[in-house]
Amino acid sequence: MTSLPPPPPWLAPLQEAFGALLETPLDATGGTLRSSADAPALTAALADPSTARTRLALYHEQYWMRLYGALHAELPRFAQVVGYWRFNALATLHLHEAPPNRVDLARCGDGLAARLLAGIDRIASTAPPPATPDTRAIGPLVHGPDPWTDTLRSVRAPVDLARQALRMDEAARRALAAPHAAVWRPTGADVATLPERRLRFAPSFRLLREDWALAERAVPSDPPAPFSRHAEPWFWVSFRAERTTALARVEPGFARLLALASERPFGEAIDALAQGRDPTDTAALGAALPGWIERALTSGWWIGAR
Amino acid sequence: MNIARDALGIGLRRPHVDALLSEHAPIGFLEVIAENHLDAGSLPRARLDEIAARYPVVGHGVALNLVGAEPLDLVHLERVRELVRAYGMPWFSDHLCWSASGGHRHHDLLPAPYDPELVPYVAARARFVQDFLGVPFGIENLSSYVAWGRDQMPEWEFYRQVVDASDCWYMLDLNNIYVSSVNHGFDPLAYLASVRWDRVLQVHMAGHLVRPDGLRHDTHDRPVCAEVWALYREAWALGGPFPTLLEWDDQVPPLPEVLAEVAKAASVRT
Repeated sequence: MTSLPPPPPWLAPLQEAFGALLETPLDATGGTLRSSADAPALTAALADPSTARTRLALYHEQYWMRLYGALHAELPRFAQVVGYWRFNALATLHLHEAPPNRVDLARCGDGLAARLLAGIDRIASTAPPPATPDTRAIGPLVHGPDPWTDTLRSVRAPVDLARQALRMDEAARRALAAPHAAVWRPTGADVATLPERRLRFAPSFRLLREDWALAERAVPSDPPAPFSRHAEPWFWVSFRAERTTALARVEPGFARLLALASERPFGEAIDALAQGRDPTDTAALGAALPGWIERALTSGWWIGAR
Repeated sequence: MNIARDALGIGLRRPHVDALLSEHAPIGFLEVIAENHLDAGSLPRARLDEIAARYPVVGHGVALNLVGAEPLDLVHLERVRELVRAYGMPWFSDHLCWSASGGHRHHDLLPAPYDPELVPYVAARARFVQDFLGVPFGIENLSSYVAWGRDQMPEWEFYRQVVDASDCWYMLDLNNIYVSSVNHGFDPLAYLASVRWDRVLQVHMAGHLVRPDGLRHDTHDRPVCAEVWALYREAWALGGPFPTLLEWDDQVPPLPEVLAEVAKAASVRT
């Protein structure tokens, strides 16, 4: 590398000026996202300044649309819940704070879910503001005092719906990245000591509660449709199977067992699950338990015990 | 696995992976976008293992920043080399463009001036990449929408000088030639006449959008247009055979439709 020649001195300033234009948020004041940024130094460097605005705008808009598209694909349910307009505003905030610096376009979404969850938690714990901000003005929002919460507050969907959508999307991202765990077949010794031990869950495993029909919305509905609310909560496990990522629906009792087993020894988890049940319920639990255990093992959700 | 000199291929895209694994598609090779597999986690790489066991694969990059002012990213290059070696890729290609500045990745293929001062700089970087990877390195021309006041030669002359000085290869994108020819008002046949055909590793084909203002936008979201197929016929007459690959990146149709589109190449060139 030391033998490589340095760049001509004019190259870096030219590219930095171009990069600065690209990273300028698009203008949303007209109701559509458009390039309206002036780049006089860049324009002067072009062969035909008369066409500069149109042609630089193509690059500028393409930059943002590509990133928005990538982030929509990373958080598809959350994007539908908050609506694409607000999602793009939130994505702009994220990209302003964390400009892409990885070669994989999908990685530009790293940290976005955490930022959104933190913002959702802030608005859930504080009183709403007196007025709804104008979310068409993405540019000014970037420089506002608390643009995340201002934008999230303007979302009309329930906070819990947004939070659940985000958790389901983030679980899918995690499943894609996680290694596939080999199926664990407990030995006789494992089984004998299992009540005193805590199960180890696969890195991709996430237990998700769903109060609205979110799982089916990994691909956006066309035309956009509201999210229907279940009469009772549903539960899903998001995980990495050998050749794909998957969402598997589990019964409420099984979900409770999975949650309990993630935080205490397996025997205590079963005791806690059985507590307070009448004899009929206890018998039903006893009948269901072997099937749940077999499913968790064959699906690769439990990969050992400690 | 060998790739025939007249092979037809397609870019590997996620919607097609299951179909490619459930049957043996009549395809000569697949082109893998390196960046989709370097940093994306376990599952995409596992699927690539299965794909590469069935089809010959070549590597293509979009993040090398060959014409960037910043130093080459050796960590990235190291990972590309690992990918090339892991799958026995016979060649690797990336673009005659810049794609990062100020420590940020722009995820676009951006044009630099065709200034003779840049030729030794870019050629040295390209040669370094080829030596580092240990396989032929193809340099791809890009679609562009702006021309620079610093331009002192046509794109094809700059391109040829870089290929010559670096001892690297052409990854010739005929759609990009056509798109840029309309956007900048040059003759695409003059471009083809400048190409050293003995240095062409592979040819790219793709579809593009004609905007209401007449500007051609390289979108890879539709079939190849008649004008680009005509250019392909000329290219084949001048320098064929060469491996031909169809890129379809957006609004990706089912696999049979993509295969039918690339199969048109065989009839166009006869």
